[in-house]
Amino acid sequence: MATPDKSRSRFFLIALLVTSLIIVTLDLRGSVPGQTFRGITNTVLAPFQSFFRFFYDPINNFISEASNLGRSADKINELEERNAKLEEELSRFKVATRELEQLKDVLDLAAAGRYKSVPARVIAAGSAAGFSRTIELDVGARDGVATDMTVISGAGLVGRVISASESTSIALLLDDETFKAGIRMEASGILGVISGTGNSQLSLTLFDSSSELNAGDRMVARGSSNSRPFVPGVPVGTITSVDQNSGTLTKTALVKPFVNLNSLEVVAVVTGKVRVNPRDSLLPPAPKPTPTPTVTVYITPTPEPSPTKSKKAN
Amino acid sequence: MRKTLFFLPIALVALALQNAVVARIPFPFADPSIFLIVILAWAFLEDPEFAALQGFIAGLLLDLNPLSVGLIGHWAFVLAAVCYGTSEVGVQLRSSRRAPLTLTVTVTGALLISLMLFALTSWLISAEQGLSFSRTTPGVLLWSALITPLLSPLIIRMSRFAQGIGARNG
Repeated sequence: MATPDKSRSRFFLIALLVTSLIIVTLDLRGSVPGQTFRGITNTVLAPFQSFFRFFYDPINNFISEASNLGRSADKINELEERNAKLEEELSRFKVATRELEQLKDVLDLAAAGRYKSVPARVIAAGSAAGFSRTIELDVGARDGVATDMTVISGAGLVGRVISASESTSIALLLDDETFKAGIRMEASGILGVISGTGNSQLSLTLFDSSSELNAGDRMVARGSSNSRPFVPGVPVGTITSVDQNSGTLTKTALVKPFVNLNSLEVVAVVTGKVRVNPRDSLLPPAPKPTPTPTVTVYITPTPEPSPTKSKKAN
Repeated sequence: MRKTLFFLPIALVALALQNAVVARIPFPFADPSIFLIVILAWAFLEDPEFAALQGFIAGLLLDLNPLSVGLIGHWAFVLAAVCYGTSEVGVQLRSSRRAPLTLTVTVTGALLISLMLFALTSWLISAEQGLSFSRTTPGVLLWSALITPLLSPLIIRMSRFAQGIGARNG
């Protein structure tokens, strides 16, 4: 039999569950100003997050190098002792160089496409257990960032801004299952839509099933009206495999994005409208097919006995 | 009340650590959820009533996390229910619940149930989910099994301290 204490706690649980269901229903109806509340949480979390940011580089370096420790532990120890100071400097230098490279790449891409953009650092990322692929950037409304702006990195499309507070903004990455963007195939100009699959590859749908698709074909963003949410011409990815099922009205394929979405550090948000469509000019140079070596063998026919020889002569 | 005031900043710190450090490191499979590990392990050591409240507050915090895009109240629902259940299991086990192995097994199990319940309710209300269940779960569970024993002394100490505050409060 339930004790009064137990029935009280059960009643309390039911009250909490009903409360959360009411909140869910209100949010489904759009009656909860979710972005305002999330903005408040962001303000509360910001000081903690900026404190923890200092630990990111050392922990990340430690984890990525942990696998080497077992292999040659003695040698590494010896070297570490001798070079502790130098290595620390080097590691700081490496982080700075890596960030500088990424910044240079993204600024190069933005300049080539004549995009007006704001460079940004990734300061936090959505957790896998939260079932979403999002990143937080250190630029916000005061830098001119607003919702539905394109986020790019040096290699190409990263995602789009889904909310912006005064000093930070949140972007949805292109491998999130809810992500969709219009694309244009390189050269042929065929239009299609890519969507995230929740996996490392994207899914491409072309509305014209007769169009030719091959693995290795590349695509750029088609661009939206007024350049939001997507500016035209940003490289998106390369086709890795084509679904050969010919019975459908559409044609589908899997696409590997140009950008490695798991190691983003410096990106840029395109804040201005694009006046000139850069078409395919931002795509990296196409990989040249390696020539297949051919061997030519010259054979001199040996003189044969008479009957055939005389025939050949004729 | 004082216990809740003690719990809230710790949950905030765990969430900030999750956002700013853990989720950004490219762990193999999927990143571990330090936040859920702390919440579920703590709930396991608490009495059911406080555990349910803890789950509700933590869930609401996760819903209002600027990086999450789902419906507000969804995680609050899931975590209130799972934390209550986890605490009930803890009450049955009495003192043996502080053993690191018991704590690890229960937390990993509770994490699996939380993710399943979240995915199931998402499907029921056709809410959009950015990552698939199969991509997320194995990695999250593996890391939980590895990380919970490391975090358990800290969580046990925090929960003891919180119970001390609760007792003083009457």
